[in-house]
Amino acid sequence: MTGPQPQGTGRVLLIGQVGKALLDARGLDRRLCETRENVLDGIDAAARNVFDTIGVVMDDASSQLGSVLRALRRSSTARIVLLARMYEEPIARRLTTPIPGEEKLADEYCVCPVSLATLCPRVVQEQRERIPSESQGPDSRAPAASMELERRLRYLERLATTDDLTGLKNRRYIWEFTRQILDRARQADRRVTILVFDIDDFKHYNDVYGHMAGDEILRQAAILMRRCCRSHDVVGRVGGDEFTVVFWDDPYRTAGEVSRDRRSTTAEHPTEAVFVAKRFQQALGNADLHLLGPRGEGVLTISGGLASFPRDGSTAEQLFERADRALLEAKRGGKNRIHLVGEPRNSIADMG
Amino acid sequence: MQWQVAGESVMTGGSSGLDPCMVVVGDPCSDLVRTVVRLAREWRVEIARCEDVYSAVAAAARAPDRRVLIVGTMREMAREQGRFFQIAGANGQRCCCLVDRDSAADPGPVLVAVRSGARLTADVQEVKAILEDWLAGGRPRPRHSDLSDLMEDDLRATEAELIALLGRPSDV
Repeated sequence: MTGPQPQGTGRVLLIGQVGKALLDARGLDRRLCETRENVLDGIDAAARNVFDTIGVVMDDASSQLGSVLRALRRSSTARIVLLARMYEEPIARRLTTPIPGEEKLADEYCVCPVSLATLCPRVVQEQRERIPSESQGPDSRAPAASMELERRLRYLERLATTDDLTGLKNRRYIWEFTRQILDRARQADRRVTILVFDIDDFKHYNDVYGHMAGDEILRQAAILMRRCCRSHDVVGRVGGDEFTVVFWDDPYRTAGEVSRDRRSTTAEHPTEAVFVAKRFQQALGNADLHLLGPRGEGVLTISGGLASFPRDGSTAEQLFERADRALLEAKRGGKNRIHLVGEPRNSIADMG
Repeated sequence: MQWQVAGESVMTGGSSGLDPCMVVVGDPCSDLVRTVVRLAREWRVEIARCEDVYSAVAAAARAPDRRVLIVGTMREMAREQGRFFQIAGANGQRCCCLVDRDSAADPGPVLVAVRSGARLTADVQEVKAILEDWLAGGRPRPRHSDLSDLMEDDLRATEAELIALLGRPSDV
């Protein structure tokens, strides 16, 4: 049996529908960069050849991604880079985050489209070196140009999708992500739940303690909510003090991962979401918000509304509208609680 | 997935001079996997146990100079549109596939398997005979890329197996 091969060849293997993932797929040098559309062909190639980098387009690996990455890890010592679509970014982040005692399935990820120059700069460098300098025309600057194009694209993307104050995703991203993840949920028979919540009496804190204090409350709330959610849930700030969390089934979780995460043991999204909201409420109550003075600790509460696909709606518009309505009912009901849409008698999860 | 010698020495089968080894794909607790592992131990043939077809591809690829038999269920091996059978066939590796009633209902993967030269069976007990046959046969499988490369004997055998399994004439 041949074991893992040494690195240093500069060669790259791209697995999946590369044309959709790369900005500069047309310029691939087949001697340095091989492509395989089928994942099994990709694993076979990885085991039989020596590569420095293996890029895996996540969309084509579907729910078998974990198995594919494990097989690649055992076949090759190459750096594994995930090429993720926007809605796959939370999963890609999780798969590339080291967990103590566990094998990291991938080394890095890039959100598509990505330039080959970013993915494997050495390939691009070698391509340039093979061209004699006197014969280098405008095309020789293509790798640098595509890297610059991608850098600008990333910058604009960040501006367009991130909330400046909290660092969370913004309204635009949350809506687009919800549309994409609902498309996927419809195809794969999966659930998606939207939690819309705001901070009770936020205007009062803003008026009494000033906008700086208000901003600090929002920043702290964002940090705490991010900590309370699972890594693949998407948290965003969609308005002044209004936040949204998109809970969705992670298709790439192994049975072991699910059993380890006690938050995943509940079968229904709303229960899971209420659990997260309760954890958040507890964390908010314990937060040291010194800007609110000595009596500030534990005074902050939230109200929220939950709506789930497919039970409460089939489109992003329907789910947000129903979750918003549930949030209003929670406010009318005395605040500091979560309302669930679609339950018999509109059951209330009182968080007090 | 891990290669292991199931015994003190590796048996070399047939006259080809290539060491035989097996890859078994599927649930480690299933009858098929336990049977194949037991037989490999009895015959002292090196075996790699793989839980899915993805690690099976990796295991088979890491035995380029061996005579390889890959055993598994049609359900597992037919993933990715049956591409596994084509990869194994192109690399001159032999597949033995257990076809249950559910997988026989979809003739697509079965046809891909047959066209790639896989041996099919509907009974775990028959796997032993197929393994013995493979182990005794020294002739390495020719690497072929399409149906026209298959030997006439292979075609007749696989067509008969297909008819026996599906209970109707096939268009192979």
